Amino acid sequence: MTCTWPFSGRAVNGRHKNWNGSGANGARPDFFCVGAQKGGTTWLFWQLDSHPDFWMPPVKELHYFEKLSRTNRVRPPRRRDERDVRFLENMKSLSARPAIDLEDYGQLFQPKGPLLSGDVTPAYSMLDDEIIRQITSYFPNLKVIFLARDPVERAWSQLSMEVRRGWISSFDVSDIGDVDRNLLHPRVLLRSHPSKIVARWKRYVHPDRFRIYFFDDLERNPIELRHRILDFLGADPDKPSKRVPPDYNADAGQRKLCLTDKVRARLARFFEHELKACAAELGGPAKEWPARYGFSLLMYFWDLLDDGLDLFFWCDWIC
Amino acid sequence: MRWTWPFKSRNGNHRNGHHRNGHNGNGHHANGNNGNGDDLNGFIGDAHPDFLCVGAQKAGTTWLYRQLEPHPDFWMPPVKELHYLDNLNRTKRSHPPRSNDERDACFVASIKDLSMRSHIDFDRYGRLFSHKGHLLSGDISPAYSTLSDEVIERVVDHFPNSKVIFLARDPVERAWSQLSMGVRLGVINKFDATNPEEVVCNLLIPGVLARSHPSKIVARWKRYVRPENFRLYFFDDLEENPADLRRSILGFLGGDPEKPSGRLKPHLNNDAGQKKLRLTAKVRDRMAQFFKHELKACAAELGGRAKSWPARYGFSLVLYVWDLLDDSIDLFFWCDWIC
Repeated sequence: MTCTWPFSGRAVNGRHKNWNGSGANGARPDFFCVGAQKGGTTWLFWQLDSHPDFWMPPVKELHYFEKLSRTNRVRPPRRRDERDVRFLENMKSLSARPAIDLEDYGQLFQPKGPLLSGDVTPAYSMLDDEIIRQITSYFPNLKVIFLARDPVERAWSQLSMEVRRGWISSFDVSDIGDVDRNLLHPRVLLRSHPSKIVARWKRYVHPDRFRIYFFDDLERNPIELRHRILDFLGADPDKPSKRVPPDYNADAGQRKLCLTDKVRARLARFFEHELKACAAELGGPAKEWPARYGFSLLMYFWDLLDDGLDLFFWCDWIC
Repeated sequence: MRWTWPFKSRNGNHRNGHHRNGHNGNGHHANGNNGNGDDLNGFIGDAHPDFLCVGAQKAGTTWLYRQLEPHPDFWMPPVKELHYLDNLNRTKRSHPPRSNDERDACFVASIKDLSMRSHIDFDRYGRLFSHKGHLLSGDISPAYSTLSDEVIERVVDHFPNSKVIFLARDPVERAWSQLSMGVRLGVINKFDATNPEEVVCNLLIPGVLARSHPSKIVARWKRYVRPENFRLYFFDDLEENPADLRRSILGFLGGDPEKPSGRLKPHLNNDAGQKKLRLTAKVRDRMAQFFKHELKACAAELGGRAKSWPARYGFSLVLYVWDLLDDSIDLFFWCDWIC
């Protein structure tokens, strides 16, 4: 028995030899952080960017696989040295092309030299199976990180940010109908289901190379979380990140929308199924999420058990 | 044991029952039906699409629309592709919408109004179909094949009794047909159709890639739609026997297959005579290589006509099945990791 994984195409086993071989010796990202938006990805970027074992790209979010990097940036990119300039030029020419070019995307990371580097783009949480599979089969050694956050808090934080930046118009934050409508905005809805995001990536990334971390741990003990992530990425956790303390929060002091109890309860109901799915499928701190909103997990497990029995009938239908 | 299905929130039992409550002030919603198939009661007086056809693009969805539109048991929307669930109907149309009567005008006005909003409004989307009266109606939007789990779950949750159809086509042929169309319509830049690497480049256009994996599309929808509400059909059958295919689809949707679709013959092909790119043997081989894994996945997971797809390109299924078996043994190890 070889140590393979469902859809083992991601391993270099000849299936994609033609376009795998070409990139094999070239540069490539060592890791992706695929979300969640508002789950601490900026914190992560700053920790890595100032760590001596990393060379991080001059922009935090490359947005290549969902938009071919055709995004409007909130901040101008870093232009510290020749490497930054080269990276930005290459990225510009890459995004002028109509299709994904995995080889040239990998080449973007050439300036990193022997250091570690990666792409921290929370929007990759919305990528579909088809693209995830292409990425993971082209970069079989890629590590993937997901920072999970309670969907209620995450969605509220996203709404706060979007109102602040003027991406969505201000709404009555105490009106349940208004809040509902904003949750059903595709941009919000698609980022709000950590259990599905994790399931999609887990289908293609080997368990050794995939890790979920929790925003709860970032709040409780950022030093320890930083330590675990650095360790997983193959860096030395004991080296400090220059200029940036482990509990640095770039968003601190930003204006947030006020969350009333009534709206909070409504959000919880909207995400009830997802909260339970997270508890069951992500484990860790997510196990406590449903109880925050007064939901019990018992019924959920009973339903799952019930569904498991039904799977026998499912087989009939496939044939 | 009830007749339920994984993630059964879609059939409106208590799990997500309350959240629907909040959405519609009108008090109409699925009242805990168990999905016995005969319980449309949750939607009495409340319009909704009877079915969605979610693809594949270039697999006969226009043929299907043309067959259903003049059929006396159907009232089809005045535009074939509503594109509501993927981009809130904000699409450029290549044809103007049909405007036969008041219903058509009303539908077009309502969907225009709907697409001005920033969010998906399932209740209003459902009400678009109120014009159908007691006839059957549905939304044929091949782009729904690119919807992700998050949206599919909400769709099925809101319309637990809507049927879902997918027309599957050999990924090599389908992708080539999409590239031909893309070049014809000018949405894809002209490229050297005899150069295998240039062709592969175009297969990596996100809009092409995302539509080219029927096994994944079907898996996504099957995760949420009850098996009795989901059907897979094959383009191969459309080529070989359109009358038969028409009959089985109409039967599934609840239309009478014996009634003719006006003067339209089942084998009408709208695209016949359109200019196609020529597919050379070398490029065909390269594309087959690109889709090798997917071709085998289709054979194993879709079954039916897809079972013969890998052999067209000289691939054997034996190794694939062996890999799958191997993987399922690994699943025991996977469990360690979850905990």
